This record gives sequence, C-alpha cells and structure tokens, in this order.
Amino acid sequence: MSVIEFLKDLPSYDEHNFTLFNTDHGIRNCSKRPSIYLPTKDIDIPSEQIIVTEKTNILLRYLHQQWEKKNNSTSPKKRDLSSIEQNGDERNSRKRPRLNSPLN
Amino acid sequence: MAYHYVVTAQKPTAVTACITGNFTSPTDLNLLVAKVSRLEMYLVTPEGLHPMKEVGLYGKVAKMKLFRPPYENKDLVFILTARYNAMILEWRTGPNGDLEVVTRAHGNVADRIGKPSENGILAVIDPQARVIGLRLYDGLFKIIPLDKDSTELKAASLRLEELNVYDLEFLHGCANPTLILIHQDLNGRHIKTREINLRDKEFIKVPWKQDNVETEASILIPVPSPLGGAIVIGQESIVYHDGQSYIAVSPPQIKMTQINSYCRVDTRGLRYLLGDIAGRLFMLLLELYERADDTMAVKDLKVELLGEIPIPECMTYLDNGVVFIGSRLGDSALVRLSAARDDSNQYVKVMETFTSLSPIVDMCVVDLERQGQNQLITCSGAFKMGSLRIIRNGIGIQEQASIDLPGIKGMWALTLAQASPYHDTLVLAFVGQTRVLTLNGEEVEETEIKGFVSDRQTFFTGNVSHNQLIQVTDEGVRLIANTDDKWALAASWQPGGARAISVVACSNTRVVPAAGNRIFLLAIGDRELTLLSEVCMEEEVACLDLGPGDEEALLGVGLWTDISVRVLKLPDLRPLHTEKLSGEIIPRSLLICVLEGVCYLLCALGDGSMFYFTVDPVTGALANRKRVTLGTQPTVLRSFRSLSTTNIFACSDRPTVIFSSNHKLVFSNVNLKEVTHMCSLNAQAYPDSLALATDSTVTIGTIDEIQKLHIRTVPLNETPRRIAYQEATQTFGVVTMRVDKLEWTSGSGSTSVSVRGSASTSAANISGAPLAQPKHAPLAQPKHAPAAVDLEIYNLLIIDHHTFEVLHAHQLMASEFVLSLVSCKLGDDPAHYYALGTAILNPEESEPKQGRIILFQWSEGKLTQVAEKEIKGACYTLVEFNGKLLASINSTVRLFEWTSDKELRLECSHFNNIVALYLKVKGDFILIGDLMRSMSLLQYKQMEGSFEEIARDYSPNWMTAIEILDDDTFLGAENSSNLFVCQKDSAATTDEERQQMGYMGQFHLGDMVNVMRLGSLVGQHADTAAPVQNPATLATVNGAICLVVQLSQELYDFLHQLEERLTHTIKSVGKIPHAFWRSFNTDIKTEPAEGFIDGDLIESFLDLSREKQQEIVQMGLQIDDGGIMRKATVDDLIKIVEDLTRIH
Repeated sequence: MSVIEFLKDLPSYDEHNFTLFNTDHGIRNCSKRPSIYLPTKDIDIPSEQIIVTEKTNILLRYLHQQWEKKNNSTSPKKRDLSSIEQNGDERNSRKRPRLNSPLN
Repeated sequence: MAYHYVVTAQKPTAVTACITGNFTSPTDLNLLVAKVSRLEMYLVTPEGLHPMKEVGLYGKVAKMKLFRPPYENKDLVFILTARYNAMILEWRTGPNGDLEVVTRAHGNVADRIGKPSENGILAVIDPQARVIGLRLYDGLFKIIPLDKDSTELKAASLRLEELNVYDLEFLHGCANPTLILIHQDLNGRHIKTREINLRDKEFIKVPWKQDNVETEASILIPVPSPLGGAIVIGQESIVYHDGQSYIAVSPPQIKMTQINSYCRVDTRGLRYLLGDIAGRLFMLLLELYERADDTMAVKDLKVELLGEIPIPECMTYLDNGVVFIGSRLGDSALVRLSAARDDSNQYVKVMETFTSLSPIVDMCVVDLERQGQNQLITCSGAFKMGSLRIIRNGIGIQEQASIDLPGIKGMWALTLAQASPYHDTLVLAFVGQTRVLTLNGEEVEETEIKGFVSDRQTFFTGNVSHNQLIQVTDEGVRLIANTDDKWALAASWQPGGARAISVVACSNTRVVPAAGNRIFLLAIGDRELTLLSEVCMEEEVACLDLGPGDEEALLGVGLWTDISVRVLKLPDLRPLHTEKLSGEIIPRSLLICVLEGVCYLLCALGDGSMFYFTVDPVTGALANRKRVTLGTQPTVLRSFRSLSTTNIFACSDRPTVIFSSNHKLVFSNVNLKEVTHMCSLNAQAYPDSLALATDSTVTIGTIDEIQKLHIRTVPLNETPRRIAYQEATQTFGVVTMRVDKLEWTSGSGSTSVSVRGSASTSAANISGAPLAQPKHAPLAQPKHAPAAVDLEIYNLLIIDHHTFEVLHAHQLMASEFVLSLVSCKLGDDPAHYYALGTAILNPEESEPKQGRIILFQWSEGKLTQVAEKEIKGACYTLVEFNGKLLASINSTVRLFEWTSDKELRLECSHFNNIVALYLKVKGDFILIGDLMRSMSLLQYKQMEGSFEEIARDYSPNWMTAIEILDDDTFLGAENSSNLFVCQKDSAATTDEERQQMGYMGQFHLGDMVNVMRLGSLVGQHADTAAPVQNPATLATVNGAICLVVQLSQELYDFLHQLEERLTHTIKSVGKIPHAFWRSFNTDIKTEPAEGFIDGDLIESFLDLSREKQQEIVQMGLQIDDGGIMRKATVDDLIKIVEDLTRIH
C-alpha cells in the first residue's frame, strides 16, 4: 500500500482554505499577533453555571447508597411510609440528622 | 522594606494545547492555541491562519478540550488550570461586532485531600457531551455531569480502583458514558473499560478489558462510531480493540522513539496522525472489511512515515491537508501533507513557523553593538530544534549599501522611468545645492534632471499627479513634466513678497508652501500650478503637513513664538482647531497620518520631545494629548511603509520607529546611532528598503519586521545548555548536547554515530574526544539491548559574536556532562579563559562523585586547554569572584585560586547545603541557591581566606534561579512558578535575627524561571522616566521573558491601589480571581501575594476605553504633584503607565 493511498482525499471543510497561502518566499514566519481581549463588563448570560464539588464523603455516599438499596429491596416503599406513620413524628426517632455536619 | 514590579516583556511562547473547531460561529473553522496562560483564537482562511483574539487567563492551562452539547450549533471549550480551576468558555460576536468570550460555567474542582497523580491531570469529555471526566488524584475519578438547566454543575468523585492510570478516554457509541483506561499494576499495563451511572454517580460494570497490553502503552485513541473501540499506542506496537476484535501490529518505523501526540484526520476515524518525540510524523490507517452482517470492522492497521516536523507537544488537523503542530521545544509550525514528495523525500512540508523561545535554559545580556543597548542571547529549544536566539528591543536596520556624503539636509526617492513600480532616483538636498543620484541596479551614480534646480536646497521633491515631478526650493515651486521621455520645466510659482518659502507640505494633487506667516494652497494640474487660497497665520510657520484626503485634507501647522499647533481644512484653509503646546521650545516637524485606522497628529520639538494627539478627521479637533521624549536633538518625523503598513520614523540622535500595535502607539529604538533624514526606498536592487542619512553617510538598508521585541534565530540543531560571552576575544562560548546513536556492529563492538548534522559536527575546527568508543560503554552488545542506544555528547562551541559562525567545537567524553560555563580572568594572568564545570556520570551512583573544571583559552583562532582540575562531584555553577574561580560542587561551595603555575588551587570551602545549584556574587558576598533549602548568603573573609554564613532563608524552597538585586535584597524563583524576595537585616539586634533572611515579597509568576540576569533590554540612555531601578531579566521554561525592577514605596502604594481597582474593572475570563492567581502557591502553602506589583495588569490600563479609565480615576487616586497631593487625572495615569511600559 503506497503512501498515496494514505494521503488521498484528505478531509476538506472548505475547499478554498489555504489555497491562497503564499509560499513563494519559502517558509513564512508568522509575526501577526491577535489583538488582546480585555473584558470590562460582565456578559450577562442567564444560563451561567457554577461548578461545585459534592461535599459528601465518597465512603458515606457509598454507605448511603448501599443502605438505600438494602432498604428498598427488603422493605417495599409502603412499609417505609407506614413505619413513619406508626412512629408518628419523625423527631421521636432516636437518631436525629446532624445539622452541624463535620464534613462542611 | 523592598517593593518590586514584575512585568512580561515576552509572553510565553510554548504551545501546550491546540484544537480545531467551530468556535466563533457555526460556520467558522477556527484554531484555538493555548500558550501556558494565554489562548489565541485563529480563523482558517484561504490565505492561511488569520489571528482573531488573544485571551489571558489567570491560570496555567493544564487541559483544554472541545465539546459540543446537542443543543449548541458551535463548539465550546472546557479548560482546567493547573490549580484546578475549571471553566467552560464560548466565543461569540457581541452586539458591536467584537468577538467576546463568555464564561458559561466556572468553579474550582480541587479536593482538600488526595494525592495529585504523578502522571498529571487527565481530562476527558463524553462524545455525546453528557459528562466531563477528570482524573486529578490517584484513586479518584471526578465527574461533572453536563446538565443544561441547573444553575449548578455538581461534580462528584468516584472511587477508581486503578491507581496508576496512564491515559483514559470515553468510548464512542455507548448507551451510558463508558471510560477506557490504561493502568499499570505489578503485572504490567492493562486496558479496562468502565461504564458510569450518572444518576447514582458510580461505576456500574466493566464491559470488557484486556490484560497485559504492551508495557509502555501510554496513549488511547477512541475511535468514533460506528466502529467504536479504541486504539492503544505503545512504544513498539499499536493495538485496536473494541471488546470483540483485537488487532495488533508492531510497525518497525515506530520502534525507535516514543509517540507522544496524535490527531484524528477524518471524522469517521479511519486516519490518524501520530507524532513522536524525535519530531517525526506518521499516519495510521485503519483498514476495514465487511462482516457477514453488513457492518464494517477493522481488518488491519497500517503505519507510514510521512516526514519531519517540529518535535510536537500537540497537533491538530485543520483543513485540506494542513496540520498545526504545537511544540514546547522550539518553533511551532503549520505543515501541509501532500501525496507528492518534495525534494527531500518528505510527504510533509512546513508552510509557516511560529517563533518560540521555549525552553530558555540559559542566557546572557550583552551590549553587542556597543550602543548602550543590551541584547539577550538565549539558549533556546532542544534536540534538533536547539538554537541561539538574539533578542533585541527595537528594530534593526540591515545595511545593504552606504555612500559617504556629508551634510545632507533632506532626501527623497523618485521614479523617473515610465510606469515603473520601483524608485530609480534619489534626490539629496544640501545647504545651497541639490544632487541627484541614479540607482542603476546596485550601482549609484550622480546625474541631473532637466528642469531641476541644482544650486539651491530642495525642501521637497516627489512624483505627483499627471506623471510629473515637483521640486520646492526657497524661491518657489517647480513642476517638471515628461514629454517623449524628456523632462522639462512645465510650470513654476513664486510667492510674492519679501519672504522666501521656508517649509512645504505636498500630496499627489496639492502643494502647500509657507513663507513667513503666509500659507499658500496650490493645485497641481497638468503642466500648471493654480493658487487656490492663501491665509496669514498669527505667527511664522515652523512646520506643516498634509493629512490624507487630498482635496479636502486636513493641514497641520506648527507655529513659532506662540508655540502652537493649528489644524486647517482644505480647500479654503479654514481654521478648525488650535492647540497650545506648553514650554518655549519651537515645533520642528509635524506629521499627520493614519495608523490602524486612527488619525494622529505628531509634533516634534527642537529639544527632542514630541507631542502627539488623535485627530477627529471631520472636526479637526485634537484629543488625547501626550508627550514623549525621543532624543535630545531636533527631531524630523517621516512616515514610511513597511510590509504594507504605515509607520513613522523619528530621525534624531536616538532614532525611533513609531508604530501602532493594538491601537496604541509603540516607540521602538533603531540600532543606529544617529539619523538626520530618511525616506522610503523601493528600488529594484533594494526593494522595500529605507535610505537613512547621518552626518556623513547615506545608508540603504532593509528594516526588520515592525515589532517591539525582535528575535533572530541561529539554529544549532542540538541542545544548547550554557552560554557565556567573552568580550576580549569577541566570542561566545556555548555548551551544547548532541544525541548520538550508539550502534553495535557484529564483531567490531560499538560505535557512536551522529544522527544528523548539527553545530558541533559542522564546526570549522573540531577537537577533543574522538567520536568512537565511549569510555564506559560495554564492548559487546548486551543480549536484550535495543539495536541503538542514545548517547549524550557534550561540546564546547566557540561562536563568533558578529557572524554567529561556529569557529570551534571541543567534544567531551561520552559520559561527561558539562553543567557550567563562565568566561573569566583570573589573578594577575592577563588572559581570558572559558572555564567549564563537568560531572562524570555513572548510572549506579545516586549523585555524581567525579567531575572536572577545565580551563580553555581561545586565541588566534585556536582553542587550547590551559588547566584541568579533578573534583569530587558535579560542578553546577562557576563564577568569577575576586579574580578567583568560585564553584559549587554537589553540596559544597569552593573557591579556587589561580596560581602562577597556571593551576587551580583550593583556597576555602563551605558546606551547608543539600545541593548548591546556583551562585551569584556581589563584592565579597555570595548568594547560594540550594536544591531544596532556599537561599543563603556567605561572606568571603579575604584576610582569613574563609567563608562565613551571614544569613539564610529557612523555608523549604526548591530553587530554580537566584539573583542579587542590591546589597541587601535577593530575588529567588522556585519550582512551583513563584518568585520571592528576601532581605538580610544587618541592623537587627540579635545574632539570631541577623542570621535569618526576612521575606519581603512573594508572587506567583505562573512560569518556571530558569535563569536570571541583571540588566534589561532597554538601553541605558533611553528615556525611562519611570522611577525604577536595579532591573533583572528573567527567562522561563515556557519561553517568556520578564523584568523585575525595584520601586519606591510611594509608587508601590500608588500602583497597588491602581492594581486593586483594575482587578474590579477587568473581568477575569473563567472567573478566577486575580488574587488567587498571584498568590504564592506551593504543595505545602498558599499565601497572598505581597511586595510585588503585577505589571501586566497595570499595563492593561492602557487598553481600556477612556470611560473605563475615567471610572478608575474617579475612585479617587492621589498623586504627589510637586509636594502637594491631588487627585490623579486619566492623563496622569496614562503617563505613569506608559512610562512603565517603556522599561521593557
């Protein structure tokens, strides 16, 4: 297989691109630099997003997931609800959610 | 206390990433190039790459990836910086047609715990843009699901069982995002795929894996659908795997060197370009076959060598066979692939190069032309791309011819031949006479033009409309026309009255002579001159110039006595604007011209200073008045064209080229001592040239490209390591490293063969160790050794300081590495020597145990070894110190005396370092930069002949460069790209305090400094109005050149306030706070920057719009105006900042 087959029909997005590239004077050195972009106003875009890292510890998240899976498989959702109903108020539970989590 | 200002003179040039995409519009094809902390956007056009915008980030780009969400019609960019700031950027055209960069998402993705991966950051984006994956820390994989509708993108870490991951990618065509990765364990390297459940944020299964791929497999290339799967690139083999089929090849071409970069050529993913670390380009082709179920599958992999390219860091396919190759080790390039081979048997041809200084390993600051203007000579690039770069602030004129002619008062180029595009005649004016020179090829001879007066001084001459010539002298205007190839006077005009013509301005159709205080406007007709109007000014006319616009042009006039500039409008010479110039110096030369679309009026005064304004082309109003000092003598302003842009030449005792860059006027020195007059000259033998007159000569020369820093390349084709200048012998000593191949031939043992021609093999003279038989190499080929082994050969090159020709190459032993070089004069010995410090490397030793210091003398074209001293370690640095030779050898600093028997004798030593890498000296003081124990200061006690440790910085800084700024202040750079300043406190009360160097400043430069030298690129005589002192020039691994100067506390406080305001006005792309970027940051601590002003931020004040500048001023900045504090105005600030821009 010759190199010609490797290099035939190279992809073209716009067939005119690079056709007027002047190589008469050998290898050109690019000296033109782009002008500098200096933003002074906040460009308001409604969809600006903040990237945040989930703070939950990777192990805790895993344990939670396992626990949920287990609960979901052993006890159908109905019972979950009924158990809450039976207990009445959630606050009666011995274990209360910690509000001042040590993990931020 | 010490206050410093740090500014970039040359931005980093190393290319760290590049991508092709449709960024600026759905149809534009763009190239996006990342150069450390800067992004450059280009448009692909028929003429080539067209630069669009450059964006600075407050962070180093670690990874840059393109993606296109399904709801977008163009590509977005995901960038992750080295300090874990993530951002998603979009380029779009704003309401006023300007390109703007929108930060679509941003946030820091660092974790507080976790071990940063030794293989570096890896970032990948799912081909369907569902999720971004990051491998930042060992054992963790972070995902950022791309959710269009929420205001937060919630990143989550997943546990990754594979600790040692070399590469990872997302596979194409998977229902759930699926990773493929190469990882290593005790048994070798394996590939494994992992499917991600985005909802539960966990890996759910391993669809397929392949244990024990090649042990050096390092790159994964995902193959697009419908094929799917991935290509695994190893050192010797290439594998395609898609879970079912496994196709492996080991093409012999790729075995020699490692492939380090690739790009996909066609969207189907059948062709890829691969680049290796030797700078060779290959193409990989997937051969397909049709399966029974009509689907296509990979049958075979084919690899073909296409040719030589720059050593790549990254590459990207643009269009029609053109590829951009980004490099960190030299110039990047645009190359074209073609099936037709060129003369050198290559299928790839370089079209365009992009100058890069990186990595700068060493440099020297030298005033080569002895004009008080320093040049930098850097050791840049590596391997086949190694070179010396000569960097000069200002513009060079390359002399082509010169004629001795004293007393020139004016000079113009004419075209006498009919319909010729070239000038063929040069008219020179002298006091009381005019001479005409014909340019006949390269010959110049004196001639006459019929109709010209030769016994008077010409004020102006030129080609004008209707194929005529005009000559203006004190007695009048003469129009000379051509009939049947003969020139003759066709019309003339004299001013009435007693006063003769003193100054004149002329365009193609109009001539404006002035006599005394009267100004006349004449129309140039066909063989006639018609007086159109005449005005009388209040004072005598000192200088004048016509702006563009011909019949309705603006006329600028400078007047005597009231020292003012007037703007008049043709055709009726109606006054539009009057501007008083302060002072008593009369205007001597005036110019109106349009640069980058902005009309300027410049007026030079008799004392070498110059005012300049922008001109409203309609109302003639002058605005944005500024003053600058160009020289000390009356200045003549002339405009000229170079490479299709208009520029201004200010002729004076300090010739300056004025040009517009980024819509600001830039003043650039010229490498000539004095120019009194000049004109453009475009003659057949001297195309695109300038004619420049001094007091005694006319020089014809070509001008460098118009830019502030000018860089000339001297290719060496091998790695330069150290450079030293020896003025006495007019030479440079350069230490280079060449890679030879050690080849075993059956029976005859091994021989080393140089791979390609380079500076050390093609030198005029060669001496030293012979090429064959390295000392420590085994005689017989080991059983499993590769067929060829790389051998690093060091050479000392002696290079002529004018021609940069390699006069001599001295080769060292195969295992001897040269680490230091200095030019020195020792003791009473009048000779100048090159001292070389080496280490002899033995792979079994943890640190070198042996080395040499060798002294060479270059005289009368011969290199002689004068002395040699065996040392017990590696000699990292050599410095001349009090006529002795100071060396750092492993952990010690030792002083050697030069005896009368021409021997080096150890005088004293200092031991208190881990590895003493760097030394700087001033007087009796020695500053040591340690590998990991920061800086310490020694004093040499001459009487006792001993060293005493005076002070030390006790922080654990891993040093990369040091410098002594003044007696008490020391600048250090460390390997996390930070700068810091330490000061010794001699006045401290206790010994303990005195022994400790105090921190006086710290700053994150964002680039690793390899070398620091005192001095700057700006000439010592140049008018640096900025009150700064003790400049030090820094060069970095990414090819940047920075300047550090000391400031007064007042200026520091003022600039600090300005800096603070600018951080609010200038919005950071990617929303990284400026304070975060500049904070001193290492593995162990992050502290806010202090004691340094960010000059790059300060200088960007000049790029702001007038309104924004006004806003900053309104926030209340006080300046000291002759002892009284007052509110600063915009012009005060512009003046201060512009002065600061001229220090580099």
